[in-house]
Amino acid sequence: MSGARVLVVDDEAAAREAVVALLESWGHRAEGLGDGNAALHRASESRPDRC
Amino acid sequence: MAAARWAALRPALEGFVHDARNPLHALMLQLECLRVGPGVTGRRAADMRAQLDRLRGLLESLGDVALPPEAAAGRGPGLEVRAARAMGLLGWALNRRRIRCVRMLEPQLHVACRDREALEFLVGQALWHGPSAVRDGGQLELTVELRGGDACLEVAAEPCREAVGPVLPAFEAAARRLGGDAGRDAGRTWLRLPAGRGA
Repeated sequence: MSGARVLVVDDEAAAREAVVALLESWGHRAEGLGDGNAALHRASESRPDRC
Repeated sequence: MAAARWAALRPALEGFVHDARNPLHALMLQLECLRVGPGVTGRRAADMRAQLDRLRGLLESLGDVALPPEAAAGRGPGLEVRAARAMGLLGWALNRRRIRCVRMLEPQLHVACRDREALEFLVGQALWHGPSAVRDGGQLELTVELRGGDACLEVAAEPCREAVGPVLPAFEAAARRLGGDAGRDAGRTWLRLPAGRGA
């Protein structure tokens, strides 16, 4: 699967940013969030392919 | 004191094992980024340095608390630094239970004691009772200050649980041996030692 929209949720900023960078290097569109509530809100808004 | 001391180290070891995973995990991911990415950017190098600094800080804290040198040149850190390091090892347990920690630490407050092992034992006993005394979602107040000629460390749990365990006899005995006193009253644990040049 390539070009998927992925929401990455992790309160560890360094790990989150690294996962986002890895996903983007593999051709996906990734967004990172550090807060669970904000992530739930964002997921309901943007309907990513994977969380 | 030795048996009580090692038993009291358990929460610090649990905290270390958990907290060390985060920077290690981040480093593994950042290394994977380097493997697939175009090279080391300044930002990524800084991120990796930050994770290594976190690990080094955790190891230093654990070393100071678990394996204090019996004798070393010069004096060690002040009581406020010892207390902050020991409390830092409990960060994971506090976060998991949504316990807030408020610190009021007087700087450069040294204790007139050259027995570092006994001092770390006392600091650990005073602090590590806090999480077991406070209710989930509550607050721990950590105070280190000079009162009269004494260096005082106090941990207050708010709100505290109804059933709070008794103070360890070894805790009180070690404080008396160093010319101070220690005790526990519901959600409040205190340690008072003569202030001085430091261990």
